[in-house]
This record gives sequence, C-alpha cells and structure tokens, in this order.
Amino acid sequence: MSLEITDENAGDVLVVSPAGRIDSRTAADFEAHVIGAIEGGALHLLFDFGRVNYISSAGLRVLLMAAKRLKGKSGKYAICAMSDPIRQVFEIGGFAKVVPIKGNRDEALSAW
Amino acid sequence: MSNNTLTLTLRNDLEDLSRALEEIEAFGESNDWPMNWLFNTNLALDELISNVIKYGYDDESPHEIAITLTRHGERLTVTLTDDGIAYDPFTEAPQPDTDADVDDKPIGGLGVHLVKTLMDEARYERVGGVNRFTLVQDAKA
Repeated sequence: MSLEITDENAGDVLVVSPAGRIDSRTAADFEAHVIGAIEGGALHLLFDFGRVNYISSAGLRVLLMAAKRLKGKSGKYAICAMSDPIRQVFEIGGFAKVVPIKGNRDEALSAW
Repeated sequence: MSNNTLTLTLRNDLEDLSRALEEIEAFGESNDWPMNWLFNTNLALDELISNVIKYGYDDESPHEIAITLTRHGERLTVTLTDDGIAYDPFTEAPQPDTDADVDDKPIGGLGVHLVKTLMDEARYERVGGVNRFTLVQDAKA
C-alpha cells in the first residue's frame, strides 16, 4: 500500500489530501511533501484526512514538524475529515493541542 | 469454521513489514474480525517492528521477525518475536508529555505510548535470546 498525496488550492489555503496509510514506511514521503510545500511558501495548510485509513506515530511526527515550522509565521493550519480511529490516535497522542481538528473540508475552509 | 490463527515471518526491512501488515489485514477482514482489532494491531505492529528494524540490531545481517495472531472467542492475542538486542520499550522508552503544546512537544516514546494505551495488555519478555512481545485485545461490547 502506498501513499498518494494530492494538493489543491482553495483561495489562500493549500489543501493537502493524503490517501492511504501514513506509517513507518510512507511517512518520509509525507514529510518531504509537506515540508516542501512550507519551504515553497505555503502559509495556510489544511490537511484533509478523508482518505487516510491509518496513521502511526511516524505520521504524527510529520504534523508536529509542520506545526513547528508554521508557528510564528502569519499563517495557520488545521486538519479535517478524520475517521474515528484516527481521531482516537490523535487524542491519545495529545495532538488535538498541536493541530486544530475540524469537521469536513467545507466547514474548515468556511471558518478559515 | 473460520480460521483463527495466522503465523507469518518477515525480514527486518520496512517494505517487508508493509507486506506483512497487508497480509494481516486481509486475513482479519476475511475472518470478520472487529475493525478496531485490525486498526490497533496494525498500528501496534508498525510501531514496535519499525523500532526493532531501526534500532534493534547491532549488525548489518538479515534477521527474521515472527508474528502470530490467535483469536480465542472475544480475545485476540498477538505475539511478536525478534532476535535483536534486548530492549523493553514498555518500561525503557521515555514517557511522552501528551499535554505539551507545539513548542515543547517531544516525539520520542509516542509510538510506545499509543501501543500501551490501545492494547488491553502489552507485555515484554526476554526469553532464550529473543525479545517476545505479547499484545492482547478484548472485543469491545
């Protein structure tokens, strides 16, 4: 199983949609993609997790790195459309404090 | 009668870990195991085995890692054995501060914390020169 990542622009917001598993094997691809976007100037990042079926601590680490890089800049970031098991992983890991969690993509974007 | 035991071995590389996890998921789905068993087992094995692959060996030789999954009624028991260096992550890994905000948040120990929290029991033993992990999940009512 691989990880495919799609980028879309919604106004100023870059919507990053991974599809598949973000685990010990694929986290490096996710990291390169996300850090590349930030280094390319993206300031507003919405992670749409609607097609992520699994995340491990390797994936959480990438989100933490992104949060650290964006903090102090003028932009913001959030994550939306998580399944219940993935939300549980976020809660156990204390990641609700790190990345704001939104409902679906439209809700996240309309409140941006 | 459905098949309630799966045994498999993998090499110490992440590609083979990915293949093994797919096989476990397919086996569990075909035997109608609860979805949370599959999600949690996948996560626990990814965390523990990726740590073993990255940090568990002091040579460059290929190694074998064995996994057995056994269902007894409403209980799933997963055992994992590897011949890496002795290391008990359940007591030796750092305890992460899950209340920390972005600036202070550590990442070390997070995977082990997820495993301990998601499993009903998570045990480690060193037996006969191998590390043996036992992970137990009970079906939730």
